[in-house]
Order: sequence, then structure tokens, then C-alpha cells
Amino acid sequence: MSEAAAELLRVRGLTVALETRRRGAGRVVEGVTFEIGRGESFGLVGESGSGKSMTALAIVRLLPDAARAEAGQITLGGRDVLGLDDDEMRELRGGQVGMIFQQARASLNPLMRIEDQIVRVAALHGRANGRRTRGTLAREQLREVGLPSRVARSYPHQLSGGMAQRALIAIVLAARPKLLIADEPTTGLDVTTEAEIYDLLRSLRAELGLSLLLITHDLALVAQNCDRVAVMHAGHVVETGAVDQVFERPLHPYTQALLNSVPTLEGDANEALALEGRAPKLDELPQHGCRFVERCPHRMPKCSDPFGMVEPEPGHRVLCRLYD
Amino acid sequence: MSIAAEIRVRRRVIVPSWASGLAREHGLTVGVGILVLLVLAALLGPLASGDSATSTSYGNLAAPSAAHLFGTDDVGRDVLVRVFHAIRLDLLLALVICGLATVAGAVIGLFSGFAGGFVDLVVMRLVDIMMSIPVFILALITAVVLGNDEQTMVLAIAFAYTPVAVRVVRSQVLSLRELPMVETSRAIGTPAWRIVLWHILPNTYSVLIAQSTLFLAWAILDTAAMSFLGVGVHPPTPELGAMISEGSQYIVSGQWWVSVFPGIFIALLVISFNLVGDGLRDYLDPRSRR
Amino acid sequence: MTELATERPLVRVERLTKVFGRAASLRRRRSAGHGQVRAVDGVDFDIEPGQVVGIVGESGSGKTTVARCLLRLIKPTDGTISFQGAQVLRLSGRELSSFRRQAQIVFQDPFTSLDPRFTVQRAIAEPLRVHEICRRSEIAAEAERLLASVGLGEDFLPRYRHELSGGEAQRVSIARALATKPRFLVLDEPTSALDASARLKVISLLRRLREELGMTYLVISHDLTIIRYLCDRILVMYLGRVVEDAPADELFAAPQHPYTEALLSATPDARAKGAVMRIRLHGELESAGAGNGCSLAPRCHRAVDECFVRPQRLEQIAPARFVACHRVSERQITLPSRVEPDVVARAGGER
Repeated sequence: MSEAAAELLRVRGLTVALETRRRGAGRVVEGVTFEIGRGESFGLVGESGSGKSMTALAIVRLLPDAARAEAGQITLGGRDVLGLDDDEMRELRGGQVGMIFQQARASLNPLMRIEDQIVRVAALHGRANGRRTRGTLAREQLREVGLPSRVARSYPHQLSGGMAQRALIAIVLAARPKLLIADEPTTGLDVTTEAEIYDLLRSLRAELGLSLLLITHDLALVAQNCDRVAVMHAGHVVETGAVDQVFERPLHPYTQALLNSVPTLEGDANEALALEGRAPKLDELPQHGCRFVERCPHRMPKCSDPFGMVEPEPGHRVLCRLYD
Repeated sequence: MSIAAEIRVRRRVIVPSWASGLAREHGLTVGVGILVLLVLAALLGPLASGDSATSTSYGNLAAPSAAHLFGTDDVGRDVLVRVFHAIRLDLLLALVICGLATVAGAVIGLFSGFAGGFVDLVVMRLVDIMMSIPVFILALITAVVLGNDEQTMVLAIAFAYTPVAVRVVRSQVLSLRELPMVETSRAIGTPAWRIVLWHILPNTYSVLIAQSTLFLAWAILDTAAMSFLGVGVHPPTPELGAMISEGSQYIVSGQWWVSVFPGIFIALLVISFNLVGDGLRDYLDPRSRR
Repeated sequence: MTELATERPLVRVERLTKVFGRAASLRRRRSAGHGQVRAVDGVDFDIEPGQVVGIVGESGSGKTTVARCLLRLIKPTDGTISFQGAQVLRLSGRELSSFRRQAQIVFQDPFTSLDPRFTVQRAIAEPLRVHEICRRSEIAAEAERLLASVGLGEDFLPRYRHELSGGEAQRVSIARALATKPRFLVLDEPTSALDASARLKVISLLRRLREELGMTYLVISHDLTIIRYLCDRILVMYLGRVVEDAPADELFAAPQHPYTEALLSATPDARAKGAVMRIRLHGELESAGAGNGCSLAPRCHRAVDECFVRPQRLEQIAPARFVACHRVSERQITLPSRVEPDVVARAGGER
């Protein structure tokens, strides 16, 4: 029972179908299953095209017109997200789930001061009570993210990339969501600025009990900043578990190859990196079975049959026939 | 049943992507349609009607009827026939004006924009001076100064339009000049003239096309306006603006058809050019397609 | 009588300075006011033939400006650059053309350096035509050969840039850069815009090409892991100045400048076991002030009062090791060493 109470987001068997004019049609996300606990930091990692961004958009039901959630269940705080009506969704977006993207300045209104953007969001979600003036509310939010008060009266173009991302976090958090989805939030930022953003997110999680869903292609970021991780490949979650489980004992051949392909600061600088081939395109996806089969050094005939995830280690699940 | 199979059933005809893209621009289709009709009329009409453009053998100021769909004018000429001759003339004049202004503007804009520095400064001040005078006034003054016939009118209007094209092309060149692809070409060692020819010019085609369709529309209006005032095209040459002028005195007394029909066709020409221009511009804008 | 050096450095940079903004001339330096940025501030280094040198730094470090100055894409405010003994900034005509053949650059964004209206073949053919490297009839074959050397098939020749993935586009850029058979290749953030597998293909390719063709590279990046994989020697830049210059393995094993230390600690590593001690630099990156003193002093976790007044200079502390920190070169402190707890953030949470 306490496990259910600690769980914030539960995704079961999510499948998203995509129809494009140019690149064919297919299930860009298939059978995705994972859960995020309260206050937990969860990394969704995969290369471009692996379906990680689509998964996030499906959670807040902001999929593009060409995509459709075909199957699956998404439960947030006990509520069935896919069954909500428009008004309830509007309240959920922002109020329960906040989202931040790359290039924070592109998400900010260039014509409004930061404080106005903060207050607007707070008011929209019923958090701007009359007692505090707009200025005070804004400054409080900014202080929470470590920005000086002078940022309140600034416009987005006056802020550096790192500051803009923090301001965006302040705005999004003004609605006090329980889950923050961050899709490549620090791409393009300097390493030191990036590290500061993750420090900030970590302290916010501790203070506010905020859960974080971090979407990125950067394994190193996930290793350093997440408690649990799901590795995605061509629309499937191929492995999921605690970060040290998955990174120290990777089970799925794709995870192993991915870890081997990333240059690092430790270890032999000259070791050969390898990750052969490329992920199947949308119209090359097999009807069922493993989607990594073309590149996998361990492939077997039964890999093309339909199968599900297994759990070789408690909390550590993998989608691979080597383990069943 | 896979989604891929469902999709394939829907599409019956394989069309190249550029063609289907164009067809989606409804404004463009309508504009092109009108234009095609007008051009056909302009080309074929005069051939079919022979010399009846100047024939005054019909009754004066006859109202539109089965015999004369647009009626006749004050000296007995068939208005319909004259309108089609006028369309041909106006189209021709507009094309020449547009061509001259676009080419001159492009050459000057490319050179000034890419060279920068002092040359650019001088050119832009000249452009500013020219553009401080309303286009029509400038054209009118130039036409009167140069002499009062068709050729000088064309040159004058083209002259007045050129600064607009210079500005449009130059601003495009300025932004293209800073692009990494130009920097890459410089790093490769490509000489400036080749960079302009290979990389800059082709990427200005879309703005040039959009601007030149605007020029076509303006040219129709400006030549009509000038001819209305008696500058440039003189009677008895059929020209839409001149025809409006000739018929203006009869509107009050009830013979509206002499002026109104030429006016309608001016409007149709301008509308179709605008639609084509807008549609082409939208179509060529990479962001609106993808 | 000393022996003559057998090989001159391939590239020699001396006192390179670039100031952006109004009145960007050295004569007015003392009255330098607002609106001026010293992007590069007196940088010196040599590159020997066959070396792979990396320049590492964050935004505002000036590394990209240095690359562009080296290739004469930007005119420096002061300083000299020589390539194979010749003064790059004074070349013209045929000699300039020859320099451009020998020194090429690959930019960060693989897409914007390709003309959207050009096919891959035409893009690769551009240097071939400009420098008349082969006959017109042979261009297609040569383009195909160059594509093959970067691992792309001839089916790529008719494609346009929007039909390429990031990794493919970057490899096309590399193929184009190789068309003139350059001796020196500058790579400006070659993999920053790419995802994991594309990145991998490109850096493996770069390694292989270097071995096969014996080229000299200058790699600019903010990503230490890429630099580590490719480079023998590394320069660390901060706000326009070189703060450390060391062989790659020594830099990673024992960084000698506080900024390098902070940078290394902030770089996330997929295979780091356990929590990482991260050094936090105070405050935001600001432009270097007009005053003397170390540019890092306002943010440095090892700064003392003297750091704010003493001019920052790159000093040699060992063969091939240079550091611009007087506390280190005078052995006041030895890195790595204990860092005060308040500047350390424990990354990795409660693991």
C-alpha cells in the first residue's frame, strides 16, 4: 500500500502510432511501461528517434496531430490521464505536470517581463493569493531557483542561457506541479552552467518533493543526476531499473553497446568505441518482436516472436530473450 | 491491421511533392486561373476581332447587348474588343517594367549588399532619397521630364520601382552573408563573385519572385493611373486607364459601361497578380511547407 | 652553435588578440568603455605537424574566435599567425589560395554550413572547382571517392541537406574539407550537434583519417570527453586567455589550473563510479573587466587577494606544461588537493 502511495506516475503499455507523409507510418512508441515515484528523478534515455519525446508528450496529451495514443494506461496520482476531459487536462498541464524544453528563451514570452510570466502562471493555477504583491510572489519564486531579484523586471533576451532556463523553471514551478518533465533542458549550455541547473533541480526535489522525468540522449547526465532510468530504442523500453543497476550491470545488448560507445573521462582513452548500424526507421519496424535484432550480436530466431519484459534482478527489468 | 497498410489505401495518385504542395495553395490556384484566362483573352481576343478595335461603325454609346457585350464607347468602338487589346498592352508594359526593375534592383542590391562598406553606404543613401518621394509621383515626374511617350513612361516607372527591389534584395543578402555556409565557402577559398553567384543569388529567388509579382500588380495600376492623367499612353491606343479616363465624363449621364469594364479588368489583373505572388511566397517559404 | 630545428611548427600564434565592439583598436585600449569585448586576449601557442591539439573552454572563452582567426575568417585586432613559416594575415592572391587549400575547417552545425539548394555532390565539388583540383569530368568520381572515405555511399551524391541526418551531414562536411587534401584541419565543435551514435561515427572517423592521412588537427570543444578521445595536447581557455596547456593524459590525471579542475569536476561521466565531488564556481560568467589581475579571480575557489591585482601570465611549470595561475606556478598550492567543503556540491544524490 505504501508503495502505491509513493508512486506518482505510472505508465503501462503505452503505444503511440504516428502517420507521416514523408517517413511512413508506424508505432513510434510501443508497450512502454515504467513508473516514477514521488520525489524521484527518472531518466528516459535514448537516441534521437527512439520515442522518448513522444512518450513525454503522450503523458500530457500534447501529441502532434499526426500521432495518436493507441493503447496503454497513464496514471498520475491515481487519476487516469487518458480518460480526462479537456478542462481536467488543462488543469493537469502546468498544475500537476510542468514541462521545460531546450532553448529556454524560445519558451519564454519575449514581450513580457519575467515577473509577469511567473505571476500569470501562478494565477492560472490558483496560487496567486491577493495578500502578496506580484513583485513579492515573483521574487520568492526567483529566489527558489537561485536568481537575483533584478531578474524579475528583466526581459528574456536580457538573460543568459543558464539564467533563462532557471527563470523558466521558476515560472513552471509557480504552479507547484508534482512532476517536472525536462526534455533536453541543458543542451547547448556550458558544462558548468549545466551542472548548476542539475544541482538546482536536486535541491528543489528535496525541498518540494518534486519528481523529475529527465529526457535526454546523454547517458552521462543520467548517470549523474537520476535515481532510476529507462533506456529506449526504436520505441521500446529495452531496460529499466536503478541507475547503478543499469549502468554497472547492463543487461540489454543495446545498453551495453551504448555504454561502450560513449567517450569518458576515466579508463583507457584509446579503447575502441562501437555501436554498429542505425535504429530502424518508422517504416522499417517489425510487427512484433525485438527492434534491435538487426544489430544485435546475440540474435536468435525467437527474438522475432512477441515477448515481454522480465525481471532478472529486483527492480531491474529488461526486454530481451537472453534472460527468459 | 497495421497503420501503414491503412495509409497506403488512401493515396491513389502518386504526385511529386512539389506539385501537391502547390495545389494546396488555393489562393495561388485561383490567381493563376484568372491570370491564364486573362492572358488567353489578351492573346486570342485581338486575333479574333481583327481590326474592329478601331472600327467606329457601331452606334455611339450603345448599352451592353448581345451584339456588343460591353457596349460601345463615345466614338462607336466596341468596348469588349478594346478591353482585350488594352489587357494585352498593359500586360506587356507591366512585364517590361517589372523585368527592368527586378533585374536592376537585383544587380544593385547584390553588389551593394555583399560589398558593404562605403559602396553600400552611398547606394543606400541614394535609395533613401528616391524612396522619400512617393513612387507614383517620382515616376510621374520622371516620365514628364524624359518625354511624354510610352517608352519613357516604362523607364520612369521601372526607375521608381528599382530602389524597392534594391532594398528587398539587399536585406536578403545581408542576412545570407552572415550564414555559416558563406563562411564555409570563404574558408574553402571560393572568390567573392562565385559566392554571390552560387550561394547568394539563388537564395534570393524567392524574395525576387514575390517582389516582382508585386511589381506587376503595381505596374498595372501605375500605368493605368498615368494614362488616365494623359501621360505615357495616348489615344487612340487602347489602354485600361486611358479608357477609364475617356469614359469618365459619361458616368454621370448614365453610360457607365465605358469606364466600368476597363476598371473591372484592372482589378482582376491586380487581384490575380497578388494571389499568385502571395501563393508563391507562401509556397517558397520553407517553414510553411514542412 | 645550436642545430637548426628540423621541422618548424606548422602553426605559430603569437599575441593573438581580438576585440569586438566599437573602437576596436589597441590604441584606445586604455579608454576602452562599454560595448567592447576582448574575445581573445593575447594568446600564444604552436602546433607541430602531426599533432592533435584541443582547445577546451566554455562560452565566452574565445576558442571559436581563435579558430576563425587562424583561418583568416575574422581579422584579429593584434598578433601574428604563421602557417608553414608564412604570415597568414599578409597573404594574398595565389599564396592565399594555397593557404586555403592547406587549411580547412569543419563547423559545428552540419546543416547550416551546407547550401540548402546544393546537392551533396555539388557541395563537395565546390572546393574541387574553385581550386581546379581535377577536370570537370572527374569531379563526380572524386566526390564519390571522398564520400567513401567518410563512410558514405554514392547514393548520397544527389541528396540535399534536408535529406541527411546530422551525422551524415557532418560527414559530408568532412568529405568536403578533405577535398583539397589539406595539411591542417580545424574542427569547431564537430560533434556538439549530434546524438550518441552519430557522434561516435564522426569521432572514430576523425581518428582513422588522421592516422591514414597524417593530418594535423585543431579540435575546439566544450566537451572534455571528446577532446580526451581525440587529442594529444590540450589548451584550456577562459575569457580569452589560455589558462593551461598540457599533454592530454597529464591534464586529466592532474589538472594544474583551478578552472581546469572545476571544468573536469562538472563534466558528467557515464562511467564514473559513485558520487563526484563537484567544484562550484561562484557567480555567473561575466566579461573580463578592464582591470588587471586574473580573469577567473572573482569566481575562483582558490583565489586570494593577490589574485585580483597580479597580472595573469602563462608560465611554464614543467616540460610541455604551462599554467596561468601564480599560486600554482609559485607552488603556493598543489592541485589536486583538498578543497574547502563549501565550494563542493555532491553530485549523484544519495547513491
